[in-house]
Amino acid sequence: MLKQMRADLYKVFHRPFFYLLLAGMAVLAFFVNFSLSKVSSTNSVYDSWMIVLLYFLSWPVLLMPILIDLVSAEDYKEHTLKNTISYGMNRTKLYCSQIAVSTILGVLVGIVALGTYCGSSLIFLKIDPSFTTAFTADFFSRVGVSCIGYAAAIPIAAFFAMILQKNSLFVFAFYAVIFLPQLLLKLVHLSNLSKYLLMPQFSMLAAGTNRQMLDSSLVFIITAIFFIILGAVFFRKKDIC
Amino acid sequence: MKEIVFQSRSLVRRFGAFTAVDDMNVELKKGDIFALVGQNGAGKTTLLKMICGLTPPTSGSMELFGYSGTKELGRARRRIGSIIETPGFYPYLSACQNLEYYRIQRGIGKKNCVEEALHFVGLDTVGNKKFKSFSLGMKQRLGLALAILNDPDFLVLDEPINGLDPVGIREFREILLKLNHEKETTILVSSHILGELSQIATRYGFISGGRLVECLTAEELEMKCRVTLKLEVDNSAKAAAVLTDRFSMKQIEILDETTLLLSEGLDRPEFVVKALVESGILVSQAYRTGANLENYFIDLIGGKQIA
Repeated sequence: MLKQMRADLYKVFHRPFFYLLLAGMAVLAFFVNFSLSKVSSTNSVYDSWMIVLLYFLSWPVLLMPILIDLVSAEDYKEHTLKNTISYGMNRTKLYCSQIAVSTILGVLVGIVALGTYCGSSLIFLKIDPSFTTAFTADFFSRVGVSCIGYAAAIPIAAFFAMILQKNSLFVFAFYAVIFLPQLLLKLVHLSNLSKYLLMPQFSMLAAGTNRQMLDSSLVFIITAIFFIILGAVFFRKKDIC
Repeated sequence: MKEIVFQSRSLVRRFGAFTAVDDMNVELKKGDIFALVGQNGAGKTTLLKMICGLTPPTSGSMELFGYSGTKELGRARRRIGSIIETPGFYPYLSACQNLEYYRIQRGIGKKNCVEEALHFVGLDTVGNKKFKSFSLGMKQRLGLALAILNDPDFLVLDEPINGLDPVGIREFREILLKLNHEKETTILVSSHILGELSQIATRYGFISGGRLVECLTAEELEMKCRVTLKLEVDNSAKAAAVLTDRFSMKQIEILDETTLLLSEGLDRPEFVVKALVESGILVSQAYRTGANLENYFIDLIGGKQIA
């Protein structure tokens, strides 16, 4: 499994698109704070970081199909999986290792994006009294729990990439599963069940209590485990071409 | 006795109501070059995919190097190199980087195995070229380079010479023969270029409708395909004696009381007939028989079109 992970990292680190993604995320983070510095009402570091919690916390979920595309989806597209399977690689280990590599890449992208965001906010924006050590700790704990949510989105994307194989279809299915259940529950008057879904957790995380953070973590972990097991079961029986 | 590299027992693969491989029993021994011959949709690729673990059998069992069971088969597959359908590689990586990826993945310690494999297939000068700019023939060669990267004991090749030019086909054949002769690599190869198969195969398996309809050694096939002069006479024993006496013929096969086969004198049948008639033997028919591999296969499957 470690060899497979090493090989996948070798592949991604030799792919120019990965560096474009990193650069793109950094530029975007930089641009947000630069723009905020031009708006007088939200030109403090505190405002900038609150914007992350209130508006941007769920956005990284949308990037997860890109990470899956970098690691495993292209294996289906380029028919490279047969080279791995025919060598006797255990399918469950292969599936899990690809999810692990996508998570590692997510962490790297996250560090670059968040690092640039926090760094540029400190450069461009003023530090007001609201920006305290307690606020900083709270901010990072909420972002930290959100990261579990982003990691939970990876197995969902991996599952649909494996089932549907075609890029456009798997991305569509991923977004459908992420966004539609909430609407469907509303339609059948079961909105109270939304608290067990992935996406609503992020809005709850923005202002929720420590208890809420714990509940959200639990939802994220259960979602991740469910999709990892489901994906691995399907992958074991899948015809590889 | 030679080691059995691959053995299948009543192997079946169904896709819904369609049976792609049906009751397949094959045995490959170490050093065999086994040619799998069959038309499109005969089940060749499905059988090779089952051997490589790409598709699970519906029923039946198989052994690789004496091992069976999912876990053991997985371990045994590390001794296999394969090309199944078109070779798949990452388009944005170079040939070297693609092989390096698999070297890392397979935990092959020997770092120069990548250069060696590329050199072996004649791609050493284009190792830094991206896969996406490769021609079909170069892609096939890179596929073979990957197949031999781990120094396999068993090569499974599905239509490996597709897209190769005549020089490439000859080189490919020489590579396979070299591997077989020098390392005693067992090779299972499917192709619809039957003339090419006949130059390397030591055994043949004819497959039709998912079933193995005949399995022959190269010698047996040669015997079946050899060109002979078939004579129908009133007394075959007497005719054989005459021909031995007059032409010193040794390769005469008496099939029954009135039929005999000659493997000599095929270039001058009129002299053979004349000699028999002059000896008082009645010759009712004299004609050439025999076929090449292609005709033999078409006859075997009942005249269906070849892939």
